[in-house]
Order: sequence, then C-alpha cells, then structure tokens
Amino acid sequence: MNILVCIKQVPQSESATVINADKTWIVRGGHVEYKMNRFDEYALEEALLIKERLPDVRVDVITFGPERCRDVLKRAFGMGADDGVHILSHDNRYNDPGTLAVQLGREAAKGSYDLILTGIMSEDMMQAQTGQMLAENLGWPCVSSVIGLDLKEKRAHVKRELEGGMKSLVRVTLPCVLTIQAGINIPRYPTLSKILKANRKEVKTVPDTQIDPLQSCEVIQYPAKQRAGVVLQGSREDKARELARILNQKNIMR
Amino acid sequence: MENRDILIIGEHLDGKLKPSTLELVTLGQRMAEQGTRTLGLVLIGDHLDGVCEDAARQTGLDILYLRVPGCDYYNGDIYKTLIQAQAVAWNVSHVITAHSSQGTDYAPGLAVRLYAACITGVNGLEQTENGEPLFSRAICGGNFNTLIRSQSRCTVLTVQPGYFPARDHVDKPGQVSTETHECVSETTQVMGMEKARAAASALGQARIIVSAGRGIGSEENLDVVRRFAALFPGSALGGSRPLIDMGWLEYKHQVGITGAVVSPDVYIACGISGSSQHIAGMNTSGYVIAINTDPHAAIFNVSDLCIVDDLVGFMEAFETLVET
Repeated sequence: MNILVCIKQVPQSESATVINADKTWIVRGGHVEYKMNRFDEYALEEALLIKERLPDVRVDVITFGPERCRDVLKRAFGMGADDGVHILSHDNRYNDPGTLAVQLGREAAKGSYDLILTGIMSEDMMQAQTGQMLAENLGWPCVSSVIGLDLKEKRAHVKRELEGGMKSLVRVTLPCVLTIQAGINIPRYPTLSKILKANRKEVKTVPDTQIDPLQSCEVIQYPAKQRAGVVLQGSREDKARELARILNQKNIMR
Repeated sequence: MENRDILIIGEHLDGKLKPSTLELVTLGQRMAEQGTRTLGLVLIGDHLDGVCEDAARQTGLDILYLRVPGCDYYNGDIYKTLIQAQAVAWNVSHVITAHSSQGTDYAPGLAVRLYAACITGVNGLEQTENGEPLFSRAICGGNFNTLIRSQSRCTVLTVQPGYFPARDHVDKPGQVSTETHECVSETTQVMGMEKARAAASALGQARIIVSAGRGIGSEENLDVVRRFAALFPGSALGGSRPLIDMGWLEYKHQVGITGAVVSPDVYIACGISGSSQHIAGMNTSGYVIAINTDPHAAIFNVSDLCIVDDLVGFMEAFETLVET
C-alpha cells in the first residue's frame, strides 16, 4: 500500500508579521523560524502508524513552496517518511488553492497511491481546500476533518468531527483523500538516526507550473476591532492593579 | 422553480433548521443589494418538509427541497452531485455555504467541478469601484484579513459563522418546491452518528471563565492559570483546542465551535491567539479580557480589555497583589 502525505512549511509564529507598504501582502520581519504545519504533522503521523500496523506500506511526502521548504521534507524523513517531492515555487504570495491542487494532482498521479492524507488546513492561509480539490482532480472521493481512521477491505472507515463534539462515521472506498483534524494521534518527534539518514536522502525537485488563478488577493488589512480593546498601560504592577479594580467593579473578585 | 443567481445551501440538524442558514441568507441579501441578483435557498436530505416550511417562513425566500430518500445524514458525495447539477441548471454566479464541517467538506470539490473560485471562511463583504464583490477572509490565525476578488464566472463561498447576523423576521413566507432525486453514492456511505461526549456543564453554568491557550508555554503553567482562576469564586477553567489536542486538558474544558459555545459575564483568555474557531465559541461573552505577549494577537480584536505582557509573570503579579 502506498500513502502520500501533503505537508506544508509555515512560520513558527506570526507575531513579527506586518502588512507591506502598498497593503497588498504581508512581510515577515526579523529572523523567521519555520516549522511543519501542525495539522500536517497529524496527517504524517497517521500515515506512519498505518506503516507500522500493516505490511508493505510506503509513505511518501510532497510539499510546495520556495527553497526553504526542503527542510520540512527532511523533518518528515526524520519522522519516518520514505521519499519526498518538492514542487519548487517562485512566487510566495497568495496562492489560489486550486492552482496548488492541480500541481499536487499531477505529481500524485505519477505514483500509484492508495491513500492521500493532508492536514485539515494550513495554519497560515487557513484555506481548508487543498485536500478536497486534489481529490476532485484525481476523481477520488474525499472525507474531511478525520479524527479516527481504520483501513479494512479496500475501504477507509473514518470518524469525522462535526460541531459541538458530534461525530459521523463514514465508510469510503480506496483510493481516497482524507484531510486530518488535530487530536487524531500524538505526532512523534524525528529521531536522530533518521535525521542523519535524511540528510543523505535525495529530494526530487520539480519546477512549479504557471496556472491562471481563479482568485486574487487585492488588499490586506488588519481586522476591525469588534470590542473596545482598551490596552492597559504602565508597569506590570500598574496593569495588575487596574485589572483588579475593573474586576472588583464587576463584583467577581473573592 | 425558476432560475436564481445565487444558490444558498441551508443546513439542518435533527429536523431543525440550523441558525447559520439565516446568516448565509444575510450575505446573499447583501450581495443582491450590491447588484441585481436573485436568491434561492436549497435544502438537501429526507423528511425535511417541516424544516423547509420553517426556512420559507424565516427567510421569505423560495425554497427548493431536494429530497433524497434515505439520505438521513450529510453525505458529501451526494451533496456535491446534487448541488453541481443545480448550479449548472440555474447557471448561478455564486454558491453560498456555511464554513462548517459540511460546507468546508464539499465546497472545494464542488468548486473544482464548476471551474469556480472557492473562497472559504468569508467574514466580510466589500466591493470594488465597479461594484464587483470583494470577499474578506482571515489569514495567519486571524491577524489579518485579505480582500479576495474572484476571477471565475461562478464562485463558491463558505461563510464564517457570526459575521452576517440574521435579519428581522419577514412577513411573507416563500414557496417550497420539492424535487425527489434517487441518489446514492458508490464510494461514500455514512454509517451513523456519534453524539457529543458529556456536555461541558461547568462551562455552561459559570459566570466567569478563565481559558488557557498555547501561549501558556508548558503544561506546568496550567497550575498558574488554575491558581489565577481560583481568585474568582464560581469560575470555571476553559481551554483552546490545541491544549485539548495535546492532552493537557480534558475535552470538557474545550471552548470553540468543536467544543463548548459559552457566554459568561466575564471571559478571560490567557495566552489564546484567537483562531476563528475559538472566537466563535466565546464571542457572545459579556466582557472579554485577553492576556497575551503578542500585541497583534487576533484575540485582542474581540476583547474589551487587552493586557500585553508575559502571561505567567503577569498572573503571578496579580495573585501577589490580590493576596496582600
């Protein structure tokens, strides 16, 4: 059985990120640290658990992005992934998920995969679209928001998370795409020996293709404040005193 | 039912119309006010006569009930097939769905089938100088909003809950038309539902909720948050989803769309960045206080009082102050 996991590199934190001068995109200030998208870690872990459970399972990873994204494939190798493809992109702005899903689909079609896993969304762009679109491009079924997975008789038996703690139980034929929700497992850390091996591993790099996007980001702005948003000033003690005064006024202090 | 420009897909649960459907209608109406667009509301499933009448009464829109015998639960494959056919038949400019476990499940695949742009998590509507709609959506954990322009003839939207409040009751109910489709999925079967685990009763009752997020840094620091919460009698401890996913807190503490939706008098968010899924679970609280080291954290946009400081340092200082 062959499994492909789509992973993305995202910034560790957005705290130094600001809007650029012409308000068309963001600029990440200072030294930016990157990591594997948290939801993709769950997807990769789920694939690795299947590999441990069943015989003859191969787990490949694929990513899309600039040069630096090679690191996220190395991390995946460190966790136990077998092989990796890097679709090297040049433009690092707002990507229409549709154009990304087409390119992932082309690469995925070259392997004989039975199952493709993605995180439910990326932490930075929060689209929650790529997996579902990839499935459609391949003509495969897709189930999103998966928090339980079992493979039996050429089918995936999955538990989907709905609102308010409800879940639905879905049976879907293979091959299929599943988008994985956080909490399905506890992702492992890469091991030192695997990281060392990963450094010697070849990453297959393919160029990206220009595809006309169906949507574009025209303007970027800070969200409007929905409440007063009074910022407490002064020293830590000043702020603590002011908070105590406000809470006393509301009569909720002991 | 004659052709409509905007196809709105309503949601229902346990034989009731979901309130989010009314928010989808509000967005549709605002778009109709921008240009000349007509709206049609579609409901899919079985045994929905009551739901459809209720929807027609509450929205004043004509309802198309696509009845699928035996389709008791949401099935993404069936939804995609039926909505695609309807969107093509009406030659629609937009499909509006909820940014929910259902809407986000089928909208992107539907968009591929319709060669449409898919804009997810829409939280605002603006327009260009030529009156073309621009849809706002959050990125980077809610720190920024992007204004997105569609470049396709048809556009599929998923609407973030809480941003397009339901409009007032209408006098004249719409008409319900029913079409029955025998539709089964070869690939996807929904076997059943699992009800929610025990309701988060402590959160539901509490006048004050102190919630912790990833910004607390380590599991040990939860004790600092617990001591802080103990300063307020009758308070309950909440948490954002990542803490529950990491196993630091039990599910019954989870605040957000996938956990408990709460509305206490005072909500104190400690080290919570403010993801849309969390905000939708606490935004109706009476008074919101946020403590976070990052001055740009999205939680501050929905806070009455903002404290930018190191969380543990601040809480300990507050405790010392109160104890003396």
